Amino acid sequence: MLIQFKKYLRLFWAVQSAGIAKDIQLRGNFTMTLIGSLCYFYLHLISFKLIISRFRFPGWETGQLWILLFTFEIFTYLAFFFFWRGLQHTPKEIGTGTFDVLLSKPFSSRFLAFFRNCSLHNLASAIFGAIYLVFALVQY
Amino acid sequence: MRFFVTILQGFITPLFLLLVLSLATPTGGTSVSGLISYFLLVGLIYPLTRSRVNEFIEEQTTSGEINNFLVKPISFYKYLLVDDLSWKILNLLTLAPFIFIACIFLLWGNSPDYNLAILGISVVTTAISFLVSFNFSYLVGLFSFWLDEFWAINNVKLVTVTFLGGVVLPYSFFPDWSNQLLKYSPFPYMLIEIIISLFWYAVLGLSIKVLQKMAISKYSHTAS
Repeated sequence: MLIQFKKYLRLFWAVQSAGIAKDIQLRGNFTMTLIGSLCYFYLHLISFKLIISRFRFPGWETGQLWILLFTFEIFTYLAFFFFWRGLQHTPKEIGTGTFDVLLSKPFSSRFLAFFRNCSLHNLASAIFGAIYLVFALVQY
Repeated sequence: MRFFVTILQGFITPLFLLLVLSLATPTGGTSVSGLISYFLLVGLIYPLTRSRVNEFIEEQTTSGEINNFLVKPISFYKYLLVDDLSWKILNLLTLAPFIFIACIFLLWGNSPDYNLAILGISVVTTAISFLVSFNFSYLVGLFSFWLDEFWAINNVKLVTVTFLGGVVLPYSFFPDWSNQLLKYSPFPYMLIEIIISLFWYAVLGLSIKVLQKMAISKYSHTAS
């Protein structure tokens, strides 16, 4: 069990490091994707700020609301980081027949299908969320 | 099914927002009942003005299908404008009964001075809003000639238009200084004066002309 776990952990790391290396190589694209990802991140933050400036939520302090939001951001972007490409590519590959390549590999095809090379910009947004969360925890 | 989705999609996010806000206590002058009518109108009017032509341009450039347009004696811009306009007319026909019901619901009990002139201005403003939105989308779409990861700039466009256009939250939530600035931007399509809309329509149109020339001179695609 532990050996299997280690094997898949190594595989996960290999796939991720290859994906990250690819993302970093194309810097212009990476910058654009980071901007594209962060604009939703800041849309949530600004909208939230505007809402709590006009409404008060009984039983919730402002700090608690911010902590809730940043936790939401971290989990959302981590979910995007881990699963988005898999969810997006798998149906397409099944449709076009290229999913066969994954099935022929000596690993769990479910694992390979879901944990594709993840997008670095989503991880960056999750890290941003974590930094803001630490600030919120310190401040409130 | 498509019509059903057209009607529903504009109401999903506001519905959740209103559900949450109904549990909250207003601290400013904003009330949840006021927001219901705002989001009702935005949900019905926004499908008539928004344009997603940038996504189509991206598909065409990535696949090389745009070659078909470049070799034909028809303007790509005009073709897309007419295509988008026909969808909007179809949307209008679908949404018209709902807009009518919404107007009755919103005006019930009030006695505003509504007449044909106001109705005419509303129709003209909506039409110009669509043209500004179309030009803006088309301009953003032209960036697909340079960018591989087009979804990123599409995200920026979506966030900018929906947030600064007042679709996510009404302008009453924004600070005064930002409202003053936004008055002169192309984003508050539904609120700005017709003159400013026309000015932005012209500016965006000229930008399209320049950028399209640059994009096509750079473009090359070999069919696989």
